[in-house]
Amino acid sequence: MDVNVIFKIGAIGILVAALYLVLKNTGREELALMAALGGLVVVLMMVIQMIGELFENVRTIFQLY
Amino acid sequence: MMVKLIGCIVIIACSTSGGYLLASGYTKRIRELRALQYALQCLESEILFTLTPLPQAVKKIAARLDKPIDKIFAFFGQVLEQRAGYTAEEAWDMAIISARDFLCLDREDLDIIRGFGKNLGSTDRANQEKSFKLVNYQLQAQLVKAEEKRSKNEKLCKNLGFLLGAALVILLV
Repeated sequence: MDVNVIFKIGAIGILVAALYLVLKNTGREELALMAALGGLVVVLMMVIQMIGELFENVRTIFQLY
Repeated sequence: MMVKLIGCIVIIACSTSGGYLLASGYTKRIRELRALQYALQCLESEILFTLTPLPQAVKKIAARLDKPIDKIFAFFGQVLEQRAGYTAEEAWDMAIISARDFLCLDREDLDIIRGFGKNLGSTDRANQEKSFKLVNYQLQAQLVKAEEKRSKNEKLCKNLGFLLGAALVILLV
């Protein structure tokens, strides 16, 4: 586990927020929504491996096999 | 580490300048439309009041104009002066096609000035005046549209270039 992932996600969050604002201010609401969704998807792709690991760990700790 | 940092800076610089380049197209189009309007006004007074023959009038105007637009008129004057058997309309078309690549005008603008060429030098003075009025009116409408487009897109392009570059850097790091 390294802390870098958290920083990365934070940076993506800030960027997507800025992108959303810029797009919304120029009257492209639907594009702004797409950008927000795209950011969400990118972050999910990054963390999905870790979420899988977390579930695996929970299962082994509580012996749910 | 150092190489990574330099790579990041290069990516952000490229995307930002790309955004600025895109944004500058909108300003350039407005400037070119204005120059075109001015040029056609000059041509109008040459034709209607001083009665200069078309090749000479065009050459005179080309010398007076600023950088991108003067190419159309210079080329047009050259073709007319060669007396290669082209009509004014054909020469005008050739001039516009030769200048198309380095102008920021879009298709609609080019169609308007090409339509203007159809009447150029083929009718009498009263009709010429009418066609000048028409093209001036149409260019004015295009100018309003271009202004609108610029206020909508220029800032967006500038911001978008930087933001997308930053996004790419974050994803790659």
